[in-house]
Amino acid sequence: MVTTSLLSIRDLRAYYMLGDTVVKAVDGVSFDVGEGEIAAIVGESGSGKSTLGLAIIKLLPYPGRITGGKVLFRGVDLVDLPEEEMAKIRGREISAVFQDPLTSLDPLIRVGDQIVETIMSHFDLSKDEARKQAEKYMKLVGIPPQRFYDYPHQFSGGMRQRIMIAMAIATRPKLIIADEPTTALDVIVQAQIMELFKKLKEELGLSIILITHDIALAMEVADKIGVMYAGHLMEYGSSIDIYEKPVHPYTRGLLEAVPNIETSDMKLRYIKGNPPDLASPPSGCRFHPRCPYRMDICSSKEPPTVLLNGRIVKCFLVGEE
Amino acid sequence: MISLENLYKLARRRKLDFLLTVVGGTIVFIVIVMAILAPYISPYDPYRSVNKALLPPSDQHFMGTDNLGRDVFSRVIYGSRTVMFVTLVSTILSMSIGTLLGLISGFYGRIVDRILSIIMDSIYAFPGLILAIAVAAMLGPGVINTVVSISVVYIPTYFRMIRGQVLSVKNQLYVEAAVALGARSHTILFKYILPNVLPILPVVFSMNIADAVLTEAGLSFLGLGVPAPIPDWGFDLKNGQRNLLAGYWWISLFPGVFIVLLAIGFSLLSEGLNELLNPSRRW
Amino acid sequence: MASLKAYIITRILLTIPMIFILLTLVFFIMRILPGDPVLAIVGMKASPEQIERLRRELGLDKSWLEQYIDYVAMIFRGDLGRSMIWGRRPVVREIWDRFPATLELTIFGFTVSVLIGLLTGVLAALKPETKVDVSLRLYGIVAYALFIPLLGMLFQLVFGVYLRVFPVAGRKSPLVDVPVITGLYTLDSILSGSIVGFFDALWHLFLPSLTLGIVLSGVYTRLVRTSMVEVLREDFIRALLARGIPRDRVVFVHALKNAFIPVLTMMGLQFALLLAGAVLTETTFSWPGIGTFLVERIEYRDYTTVQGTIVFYALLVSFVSLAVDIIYAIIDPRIRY
Ligand SMILES: Nc1ncnc2c1ncn2[C@@H]1O[C@H](COP(=O)(O)OP(=O)(O)OP(=O)(O)O)[C@@H](O)[C@H]1O
Ligand SMILES: [Mg+2]
Repeated sequence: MVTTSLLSIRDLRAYYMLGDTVVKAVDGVSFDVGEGEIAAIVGESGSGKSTLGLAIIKLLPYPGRITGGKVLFRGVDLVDLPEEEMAKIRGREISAVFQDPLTSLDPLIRVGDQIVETIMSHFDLSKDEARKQAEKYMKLVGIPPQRFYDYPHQFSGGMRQRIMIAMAIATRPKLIIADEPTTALDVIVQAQIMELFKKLKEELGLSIILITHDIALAMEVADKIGVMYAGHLMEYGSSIDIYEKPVHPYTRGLLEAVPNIETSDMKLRYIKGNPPDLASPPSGCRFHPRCPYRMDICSSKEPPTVLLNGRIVKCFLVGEE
Repeated sequence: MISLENLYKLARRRKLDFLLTVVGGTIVFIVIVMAILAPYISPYDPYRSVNKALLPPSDQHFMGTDNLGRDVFSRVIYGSRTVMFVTLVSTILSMSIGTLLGLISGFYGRIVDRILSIIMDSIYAFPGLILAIAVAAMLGPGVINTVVSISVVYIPTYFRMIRGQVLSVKNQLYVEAAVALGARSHTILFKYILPNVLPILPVVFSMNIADAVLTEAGLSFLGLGVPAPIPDWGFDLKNGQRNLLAGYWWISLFPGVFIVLLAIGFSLLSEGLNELLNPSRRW
Repeated sequence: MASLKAYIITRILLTIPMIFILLTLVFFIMRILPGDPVLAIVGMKASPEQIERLRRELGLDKSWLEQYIDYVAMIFRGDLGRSMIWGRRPVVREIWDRFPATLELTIFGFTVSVLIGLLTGVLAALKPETKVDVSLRLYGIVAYALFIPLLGMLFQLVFGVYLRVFPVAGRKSPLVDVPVITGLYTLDSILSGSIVGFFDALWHLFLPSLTLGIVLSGVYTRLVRTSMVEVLREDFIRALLARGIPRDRVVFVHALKNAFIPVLTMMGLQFALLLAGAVLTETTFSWPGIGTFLVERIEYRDYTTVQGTIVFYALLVSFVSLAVDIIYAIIDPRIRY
């Protein structure tokens, strides 16, 4: 690997404390994201993807808490960082784009002013200079700068998501966390936004963590893919490797579930069973109740995380090799 | 409706709301008992001068005596009769008229509904106390007149609630067309509207009384409520103000505190009941 | 912008029926109710001619319909009739003399209540379900139930009688002389450059506006708390934080601005509470506003003045609720388009 890692996550744990029950939404996740790399995190609903993304920028909703592990960003552990320091990193170094563009902008403030506010809270610029910057980034994401003075409700969903992206890149961060940025949008807009991400990566050298439940989309745009299941990262590696030779049975299941147009195999396959309740996950490997290659050991011991030709796998099938 | 066992479970799950209900209920209960037992528990005749004027609180006069030498404690006790009678009767009156108009408006719809609604909304928007003042000023002082003045203010509260219920039931019935075909007005009323209204009625009713207590006190404080010498907290509060600046605080303070206590009692009761009966709605 | 105009015009058109209903209501209250106003005014001893003259003067010899038309026509001319006592001044003039006192009191009382409401509401919303939240919830209930005269008298007793730091009655000290320009003493003293006058006016305003403000703040505590909790849960708050906007700015600028909109929509009704509260506050502190005026004229059975004052209240309430709705439309861009 030639890339140096920008972000290293080590054994990260983020739990929701719901009275006497603890929802272990992210439970010992480790992976690296290099500079100028797009890493996709895929997984079924409820597997802890959003929690992971929010834990990285320490914006977990109440009653969520980081209970262990490290988030090393350029060598600095964000987990220990005080809130004022963290506020300087948010936006400036790491930006985030969330799922619902319709509700992600302050409805009472003109979008231009919201971009300006973001820029000015990180750079020592005059209002005019910040305005010029804002217009530049509006143009970059394909919003005509004349719409600077419009209010959020005057834009379509796709345009609003572009504005969110404009704000996310206007501070020239190193990393963007995009949590299902296109789920609320139609396919054409989705393709446009993914193109935009690729362009940003190439032109600005941005790293992106793309959170999605759509493994096909991930394959298309991402350099790396991580597969999450019930709070665990089951497999993480380059997207080509994973596409060509998925190792973890869950990854295989996910890939098989994608309808394949080329082989005209349009039959929808899916993995039998449901994801577990994270308040009381299964013992051993969390996937074992649904796993077709289940062994005795799987239900009693948690599989170790094994490094295999530059990819990470958490499965006993690999441990034995 | 609520079994003892359920009540116990509720009490454990929503400790605070339960506590509010109990505290509010206790205050209300005490005042009601005071009103009922007034002749037995009050040490003196509230209408007569029983000692020197302006005596401070003592063993003999628990709350002192007023400017006419009447026992403040006895007047406070008898005052609870006035306030409870006036507010209960006027609230029941508002509820009956408001409900009736609400039903008419909701069932008839069209022009009747339009007119009634706009009248009710206008009354609702007008400052309650000032409306009561206007009516009381025209009627002149008197217990029944006070009742009428206050009840006018709260008719829209019930009107809006009942009308809203009728309209939403009507909508439901269009969906359940089969029911609509066979249903008569009284079936609709008893089967659909009443079950929806009953759980919020105690809440609205006690909130309303809390408000009515303050309006009643306001009217009599302004000299537009029940006529002297009937014992009344608002009137006695006003009566004591003349001597307040000379340091005779007890004539005003005790009746005033009881006004506030009773209003708090009914508010807490309403608040707590709301949380317990309709737990989905937060304050 | 064109549709803002359309909105405002529609809203104005909607105010007209409300004004009519209220005027009609006042008309009926002043007439249908038992007792002959003329007898009540002049007393039983009056001669038949006296009674007849007054009756004609009040228009009571005409039919109700005629009376109603006269009444409405008069109001639309900006005339509220003449007082029946003491120099028989036009009621409009009488009200105009007293209105500034009420306006000044309500502005200060309103400011106090909104400030307390915002402070307590935001505080409770930032710490939901904690001891702070519960105490403020209780504060909301108790403040609303505080009877204005009692609170006012307690203040008079403590600050006026025992500590002797604030005056217990009136709007200004006898020796302070500031020319009346607007009738708002704080403003007049600024306009005429009288520092003494300004502080004297504030000093007199202190207890009455604190009393009115505290009692009304309970409602705002609740409103602000509820809507702030809701806004803080919204996606855009998280998005703002994710962009590194400082938390204080997110809470006190973005969240508060959004939370204020539902509070604003309630302000028309709050204004009614404010006016009603002002009547009690004025009487408690001998404040020479319309509230004390109304009560005084009821005592003197100054029938036309009472009617005129109530009409004035009705118009005031209608205009304020109209103004609130227009301000709402200007603040919230979503209404406009
Ligand atoms: N605020 C919260 N309080 C309590 N539990 C939560 C909260 N948010 C998420 N969870 C729980 O944490 C687990 C992971 O949720 P998360 O939102 O991270 O999943 P996800 O992979 O993003 O799912 P989706 O694809 O539906 O967005 C779920 O079991 C969820 O119920
Ligand atoms: Mg998610």
